[in-house]
Amino acid sequence: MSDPWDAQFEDMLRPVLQHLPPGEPLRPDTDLAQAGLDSMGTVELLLSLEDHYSISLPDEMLQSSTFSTPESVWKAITAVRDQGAEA
Amino acid sequence: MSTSRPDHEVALDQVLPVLRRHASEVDENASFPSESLTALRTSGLLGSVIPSQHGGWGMSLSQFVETAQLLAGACLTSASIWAMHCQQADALARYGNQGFTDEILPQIAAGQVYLASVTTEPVKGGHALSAHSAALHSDEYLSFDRKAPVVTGGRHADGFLITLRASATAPETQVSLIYADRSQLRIEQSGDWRTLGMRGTDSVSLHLKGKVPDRQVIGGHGGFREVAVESYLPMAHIGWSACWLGAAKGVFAELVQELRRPGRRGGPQLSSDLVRERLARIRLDLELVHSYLQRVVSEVEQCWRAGQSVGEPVQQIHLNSLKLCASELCYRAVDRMIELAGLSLGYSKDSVVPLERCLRDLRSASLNYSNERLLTVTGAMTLMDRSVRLA
Repeated sequence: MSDPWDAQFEDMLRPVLQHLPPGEPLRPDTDLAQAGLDSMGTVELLLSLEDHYSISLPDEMLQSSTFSTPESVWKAITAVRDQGAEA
Repeated sequence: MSTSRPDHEVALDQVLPVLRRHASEVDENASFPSESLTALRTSGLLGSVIPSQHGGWGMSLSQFVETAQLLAGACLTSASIWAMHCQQADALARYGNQGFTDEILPQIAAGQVYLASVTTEPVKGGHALSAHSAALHSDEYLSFDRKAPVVTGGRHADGFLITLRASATAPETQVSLIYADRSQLRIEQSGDWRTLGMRGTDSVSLHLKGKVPDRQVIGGHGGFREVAVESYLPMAHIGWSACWLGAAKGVFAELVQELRRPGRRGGPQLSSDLVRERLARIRLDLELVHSYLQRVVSEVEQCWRAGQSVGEPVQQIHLNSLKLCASELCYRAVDRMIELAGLSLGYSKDSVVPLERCLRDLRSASLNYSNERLLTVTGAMTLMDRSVRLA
């Protein structure tokens, strides 16, 4: 089964997950806080995602629930991208 | 018709004179304020934030802040010790295991248990959310061997809240908070506390070894992050800010009284525009800290009442900003009071107004939970709040 996200997404996410061993697969429901995502890591991740996908996540999305799992982060990105495409 | 005053107000009438009486010798001799702690124990104030069903006063955050300011106006060292105790008590009351809290909370409320906090560690400094020494698990008990470079009141506390890495294989960011009674610990003192100010907090280095049952884990194994974000850190930033403001306000009140004393000779001329401008600048700093403190307290109270987290970036920015501005502006205000008062009334240890002691004490404010690190975190979080939602 292929990942629900593109390869670059995982390349940006892995470096901020200090406790996820390199060989361990990233699952949609991986608990990012448990995997080592802290508040500083969240900021780094946000900046690289916004830059790479040329999007701006609105402030109301920037809460802990958005950054709880890879799936929730990816959903936020696709929602904003889709909105941009419709506009 | 009789009007009864709240318990904590009656208690403060008894306690404040004791704190005032010993504040100078506590600093002079760098001795722990034992008489003040005894007064706090017997008055019921150690149970301030313990819920009433466990024998405490169930103080609101606003009342906690008012009380901290009044205590700090009498003795900043004693007030800080009390505020840090309340910070531990709040974490226990909110996140402790119910079977255990039914036992320990009434003891705290009765003044039998003074709590100290063990969150610093040699390899990580004051970084609150990580821990190096691990909890070793066996048969529903966990044991530990933990060094802590700074434990306020460490030689005097009856119980300790200690952060530990959740297990030997857990990462340093997976942290458990445990309660350990003094009788469950072997404690060696490994360093003294000889500092510029806050000399009576006796914040010694300790080496602690012990074993406690699982029921003494607070917030579950590895659950410290939530305890810290929702209780520990808000209580710390708010409690310290209230103490610093109370101390600065207290010496300012004494200074203004002395300046207006009939028959005073020498020193600042009250008719001088320069003196009045300096008074206004000091007042401005205190007004700003006071109003921002009130604002952040009401924001946190609102979140707590609604069962919402205070861990979102915007609330974290506000809490951090409170600690940053209170530590900087209260110190600056007292520094300006010394500039205004001059060498004998301001700078001298023998002055009738204890500005010299207060300045030394408040110098610790930016170092205590380092402002430099807090600024870096706050700056990063600021990037997450593009619409700049101010408190």
